[in-house]
Amino acid sequence: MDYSSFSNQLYAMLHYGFAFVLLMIVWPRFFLRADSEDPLENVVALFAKAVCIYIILGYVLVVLQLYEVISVSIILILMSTRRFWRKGSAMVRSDSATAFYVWFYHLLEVGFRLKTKWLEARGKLTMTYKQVNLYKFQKSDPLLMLLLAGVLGAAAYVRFYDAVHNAAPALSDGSVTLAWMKFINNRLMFEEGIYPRGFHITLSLLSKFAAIDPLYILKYTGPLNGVLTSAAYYFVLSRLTGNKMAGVAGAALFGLGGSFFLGGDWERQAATNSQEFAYVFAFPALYFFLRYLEKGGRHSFWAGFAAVSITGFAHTLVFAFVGMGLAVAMIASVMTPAGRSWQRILIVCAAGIASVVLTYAPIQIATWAGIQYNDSAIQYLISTTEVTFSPLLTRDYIGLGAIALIALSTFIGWRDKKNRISEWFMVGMGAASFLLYYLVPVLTESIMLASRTGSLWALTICLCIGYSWWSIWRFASRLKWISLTESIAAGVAVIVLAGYVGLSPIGTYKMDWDSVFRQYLRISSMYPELAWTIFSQEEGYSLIYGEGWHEYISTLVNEYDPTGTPITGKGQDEYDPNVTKHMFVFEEKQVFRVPKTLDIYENLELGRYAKHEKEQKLLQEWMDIYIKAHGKPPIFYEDEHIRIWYLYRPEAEDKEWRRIGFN
Amino acid sequence: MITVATRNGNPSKTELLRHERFDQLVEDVMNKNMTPEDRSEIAALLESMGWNDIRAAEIFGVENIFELASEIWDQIRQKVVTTAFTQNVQTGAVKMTFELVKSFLRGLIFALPMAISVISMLTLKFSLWSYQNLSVELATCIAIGTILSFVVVGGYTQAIARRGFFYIYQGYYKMARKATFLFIRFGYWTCLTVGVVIYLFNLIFNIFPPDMFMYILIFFFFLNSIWLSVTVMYILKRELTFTGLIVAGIGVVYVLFKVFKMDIIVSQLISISLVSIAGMGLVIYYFRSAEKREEKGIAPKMTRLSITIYSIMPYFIYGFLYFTFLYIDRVNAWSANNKDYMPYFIWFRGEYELGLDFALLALMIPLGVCEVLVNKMMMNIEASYKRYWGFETDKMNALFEKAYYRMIVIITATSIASAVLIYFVILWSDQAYVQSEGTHLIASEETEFVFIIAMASYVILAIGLLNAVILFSLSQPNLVNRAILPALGVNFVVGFLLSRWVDYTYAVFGLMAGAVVFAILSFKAMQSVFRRLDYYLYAIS
Repeated sequence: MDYSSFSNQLYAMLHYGFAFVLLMIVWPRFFLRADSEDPLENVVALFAKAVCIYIILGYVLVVLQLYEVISVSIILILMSTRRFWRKGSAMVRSDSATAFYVWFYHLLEVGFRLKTKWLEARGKLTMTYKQVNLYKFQKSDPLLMLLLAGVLGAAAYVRFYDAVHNAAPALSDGSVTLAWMKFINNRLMFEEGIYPRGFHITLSLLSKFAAIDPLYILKYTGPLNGVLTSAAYYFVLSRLTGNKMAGVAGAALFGLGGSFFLGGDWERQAATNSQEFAYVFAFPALYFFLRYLEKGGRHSFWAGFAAVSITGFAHTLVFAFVGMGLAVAMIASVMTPAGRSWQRILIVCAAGIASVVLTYAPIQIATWAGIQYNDSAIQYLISTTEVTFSPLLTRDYIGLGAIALIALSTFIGWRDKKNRISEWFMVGMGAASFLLYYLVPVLTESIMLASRTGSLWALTICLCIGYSWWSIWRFASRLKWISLTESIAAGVAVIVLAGYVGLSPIGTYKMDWDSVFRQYLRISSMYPELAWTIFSQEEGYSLIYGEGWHEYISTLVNEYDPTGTPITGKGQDEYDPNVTKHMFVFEEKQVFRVPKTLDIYENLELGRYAKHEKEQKLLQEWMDIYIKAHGKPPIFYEDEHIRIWYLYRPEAEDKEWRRIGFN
Repeated sequence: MITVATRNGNPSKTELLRHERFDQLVEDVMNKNMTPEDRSEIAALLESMGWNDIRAAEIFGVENIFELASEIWDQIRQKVVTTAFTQNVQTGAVKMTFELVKSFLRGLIFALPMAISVISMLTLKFSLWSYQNLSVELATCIAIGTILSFVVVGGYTQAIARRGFFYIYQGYYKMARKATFLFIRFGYWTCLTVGVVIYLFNLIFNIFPPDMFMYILIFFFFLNSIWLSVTVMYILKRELTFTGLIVAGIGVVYVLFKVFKMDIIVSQLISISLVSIAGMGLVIYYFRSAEKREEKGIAPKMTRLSITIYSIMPYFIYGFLYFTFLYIDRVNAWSANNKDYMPYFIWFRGEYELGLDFALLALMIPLGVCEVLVNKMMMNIEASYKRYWGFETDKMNALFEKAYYRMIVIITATSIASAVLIYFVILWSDQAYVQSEGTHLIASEETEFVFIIAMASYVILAIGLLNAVILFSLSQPNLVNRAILPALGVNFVVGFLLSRWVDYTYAVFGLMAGAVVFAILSFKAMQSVFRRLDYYLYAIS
């Protein structure tokens, strides 16, 4: 099995796609409502509501120790069919039963004639079409669709490239995210301390339904988050302005903007982290609440509430950012007398507070239960240092220019009040984000704010530039051929952008040799779960956890006697029955090191890598003695970096047992 | 009024003859319809029998056929009103004992294949589809195949039994064969469809590796075949034949496995396929033989498919629900996550299965008793309900309700006694096994725990099953389904929660809770039926 082979990737992606479509698009249709006239808005609203419900469900089921496919499926089925179970639904049940009987006995009566079958199939197709309510492409502008598809396709290409070609998780956070996803799989909520687990619950749910190794889920979800965020830009901007090219502009800036716009965060677009997951919902949340403030409506309110809550469940900083956006949206509403409703403003205010309570509740309950906060996260959160004003970059000037342009456009087109609330919102959000990035870290001296607010400002820049596209083109809307001209201009702009930023697949640093991850996948596909053990360094823990057993190299060389039956503890007469009979020892011929340019290198070199070097020598000695005692064991895999030894303990009684091939 | 008086007060010979002819005519009409609606219907019947105005006037001196119909109507009404109540035929103690023993023997014969399989396992270490030294992977495959086969084919076995008996009791063997094979065909198609669906499901969700899944499918298919042929043999009362087939099947396995040293699974699969083919062949043969004995005459047409399906649908649903009820706790127990070793979504746990298997023995005697009790009750009802006036329905209902409570007491006592008996038999067997084999039959605390709780559950389930059989006899399968559906839900929910919160063996409490709910709901259904028994008897007449 080659990780990056077409067949393997197709297989894994089909599974992933199936789980994603099932959980995020199809199933929510049956247990949630979305009654907007805009099909895309319905898709986004249902997605947000579903993810919010899944996270709450995940929290509850993990705490109750009931989290598994069966329980989740049954709850979703009950929710999907609740119209049959709730009070006073006898008539609904009876009608449905009658309809089913009529259909069934009619089927028996008419037989399986071709014509009938065809008509039924056609009817079903129509129904499915109506149920899923797919976005109606036929009414769309083909140039726009082409451009949007190109932007999203390119955004996906640069993000997924690493996921498809390298099995190793991206960046240092990858193994943590993987481990936390697996902890949720094993019904452990705050295993390594308190940290919002909304994203990990979502990952875990996808892994449960995709039925592929969690490593694939990790590898695919991060890039997908980036693509979905790009799509969210399109959705929010096209709906706020009524100009779809503005949406494409926003999507292109975020999707293809590279490190020019996103700075160091560009690399994170190919990695899998909570922050990027929260980005997906940040602007849709603000969009729905803006809509609610402007026009009211349960649909907008609940979609907004769900999206805001997801950011709270996933990432505290993004949640706070959205909270700031919500405040700006309320101010914008106050400043827009035409659609101002104090009642709605109060309700949004209350919704924000409710969302804080809801998303903070798991954390508070965990602290009551005596669980400590995650060390790294809390250290990062409270650390301070002397922070100076960041030098303003080109992108910052572009962003500020875009905000000014929106403001100018607002005043020039003062009589056109159609988008007034969103215009105020954009100006306010842009200004607030800039201050958050530029001023707040200096005032607070927070390391976390100093390092992370830049990405929030970058997000807002993309939004504001996208909006400013409309601010410019709105004045030319009555000109002849303007639509075509705009499309061509947008296409050229996208190409120029991609060329200017030097768009290419995102490469990320890794924490271990790629072959380690590839061979792990090979082993786990060959043997049943928990029927094998890997001896490797600490990087292997999160990888192997929940699938097989992981032991450290130090444990092997320090605690096991190489001359005993594989493998026997030192001072023991018999082999260790707690170790599986299939064992794989990962020997590093060359100890892996992250690039020296990284901040984390120095600490790793002094601590972890020095230890690895020492342990690899001990392992070689251990293996030499083993080979003398037992002969050379089979080499499962070898390349220039690693060698994997396969140790096997035959069991005497095996001969009498009838087994399936693999044992 | 047709009179038979003469001048001297004595009837003349002609008049007597006319009187006799009139009585004969009344009888003929009643043979056509025991309870005609009115005079007009009688007139129509007379016409259909060849009577007309002239003939009526000639023979009975009436003006026309309507007057004759009127006379017959009066006579029939008088006859109905004055017909004496038939007395109950008292069932003697000897006959009763004979019936009881007969039912037991039939039950025992039906349980013989199970007994032979157990003996084969204890002595040869294998039977037709099990082997002591199977790896857990294979045991998992066979267990899943078995459960799936029961759940999928359970509805069809009920449908075959219901429809088959329906025709066989009327002597329509040809129709019985047609109906039976219709459901067998449906059974195979369903089996095939389910096979394809679960294959696709497994392809998407990777529940089991392909080689394991192949075993699941193979056992699922062949066991389906066996259950279908067993059901037909049951309705044809050929249980001994099936026992013979099992013995022969084990013999084939012995020859292939021990003599020809073939792989055990291959040996078993060959044998199972031979048994199922032979079973189906025999079923065809038995039907053909029965058809030869069938009374020749008008061959009624089969009812339309939709009507046939409609009439057996509640029984089909019951079959599905019943087998799902019986196995859902196993699914709960085997899918409960064991943090040490749980390689697949479902992982067979022999300790649990063994406990349930031993406990199931406790159900054999109560089921035999149940059949006898229900037969007797239905005979009593049939014999005595005509003795009551219309205004005495409450009295009749109360009488049978009381009788029903007695049955409940009997079945409860029998079940408890059976459980106690089985408990000690198993304890004794365990000791005997230790002496002969050096190991325990009940080798773990888990098995013992499951055995005891499951036995208690089956005791309770026996009450529910008694109610179910009575309700079936009164043609009220929907009431049974309304009781077993919530019971299944409770079984699943309780078992699921406890198996996750406490230990996988606690899934057996789901079975117990489900049995309690089934017993209570079916009891309530029985109470409502007995309080309106007259209505239900009218409904089935």
